[in-house]
Amino acid sequence: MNAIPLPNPHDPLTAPHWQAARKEQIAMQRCPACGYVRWPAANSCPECLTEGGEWTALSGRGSIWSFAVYEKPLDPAFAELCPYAVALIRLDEGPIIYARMLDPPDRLACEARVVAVHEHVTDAVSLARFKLESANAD
Amino acid sequence: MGLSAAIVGFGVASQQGQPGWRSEDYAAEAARHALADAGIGKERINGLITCKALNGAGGDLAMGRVLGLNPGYSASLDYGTCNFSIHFATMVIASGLADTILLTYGTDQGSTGGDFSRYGNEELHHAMIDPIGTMAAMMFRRYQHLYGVSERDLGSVAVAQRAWARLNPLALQQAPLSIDDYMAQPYYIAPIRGPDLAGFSDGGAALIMTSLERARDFPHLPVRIAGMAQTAPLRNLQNSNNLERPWMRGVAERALSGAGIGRDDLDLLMIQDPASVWVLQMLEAMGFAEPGGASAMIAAGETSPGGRLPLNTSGGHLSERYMWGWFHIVEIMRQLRGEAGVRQVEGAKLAMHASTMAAHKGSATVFEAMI
Repeated sequence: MNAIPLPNPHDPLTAPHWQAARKEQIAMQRCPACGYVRWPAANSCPECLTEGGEWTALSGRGSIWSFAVYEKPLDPAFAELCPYAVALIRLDEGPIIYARMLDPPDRLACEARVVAVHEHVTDAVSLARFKLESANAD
Repeated sequence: MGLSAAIVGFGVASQQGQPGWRSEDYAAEAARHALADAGIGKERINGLITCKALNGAGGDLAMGRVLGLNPGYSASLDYGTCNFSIHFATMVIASGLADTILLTYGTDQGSTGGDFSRYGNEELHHAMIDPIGTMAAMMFRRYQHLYGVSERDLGSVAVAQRAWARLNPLALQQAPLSIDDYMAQPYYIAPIRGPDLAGFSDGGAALIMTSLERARDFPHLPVRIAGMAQTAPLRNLQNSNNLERPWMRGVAERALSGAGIGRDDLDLLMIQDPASVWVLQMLEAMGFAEPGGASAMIAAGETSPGGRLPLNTSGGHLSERYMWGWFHIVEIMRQLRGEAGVRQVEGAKLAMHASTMAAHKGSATVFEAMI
């Protein structure tokens, strides 16, 4: 039985992202010179090449670009989750990220509005999942 | 633009699952056949360009040792799917660094259990297991959102290519595949099914390339590199709608204009197809179909045997086997030499191969039989 793979929250480059995740925020680096919000994390801005970046908490909101549905697991570690969807989410601040959706897959659609919900997976690691904004009313 | 290189020999590894064989051994078997096809001994090779396998095997250091070569020039490409290797060899020939080049690729991915889940990509690591299958599922879901096509429409790609594969004795997938057979398959990753993804196997391919001046010194009809183009959208998801491959339009236009021809001049088209939705995206991006119209064109039989635009006439990655575009070039060599047997496209003289590396790179090459 494999375990679901987890990131190293102590990596010097990405530690601020994981620290923010503990506080249930999605943080990315904003360029101090041009304002570009970058993903994945990097030591300089891919837009204007300025070194450094200010870790900034984002809104945690965006829309689904597309999604894939796993009806059977490709890795036994994910068996209990099936069926589940992994979505490509365009955050309101611009970056596009992959994340697992918490909603039943048949309720999802491209361009649907979504919001992040953090799952505290271990004592050190929290991961952003997403759910439909329309599910907020529950 | 005066490209001056031609392919004068090719070979494929005819075996798979050989006990004790590794990627380099399949590449070496293909190289022996390519040398024999070109009618030369290995001492004539003064350049070696190798394409590493997915697992990193088959670099020039390894292949030089296996083949006993001390060439004047050698290099290897980490991602040398065949267009990229051919373009590199064309540049090496133009530079004068070498004039008779052996290109090799071999893989033991069938025996070692290789699959797309080993295709590493840090960005995807925490979200999914199979990046290519997942990308394909997402690409097609997005495509459905944009154009309103159905899963049955997507199935037309696998069905049409299987019809070609049934005419190719080397294709791994020979069983008949109807659209109803396709729809009866379970999802692999919804909304795609097993026939939407390439089949893995061991294998290898090799080419011999030389300058145009020398091309006619070899026994078979040479095939000229008539046009080539690339693009490298390396920023990947930082680019808007990158997974729709919009940048393939410019690549195809530059390759065709370099060759001085238009789309309608092509006798056949080979599109790298690790997943079926790649084919729809590229046909449309390159202007062979209207946006959203590729599946209707395929379902109407226009790309099938006897159609106006023969496409992936070997069966492609989906039905022949996953060989990183190398068998796509082998198919072009067979067709342009008139050696494609029952699937021969009558009078084939001009062909194009279009390929991408996931969604990070794109390339196209136009090939012309030097009749």
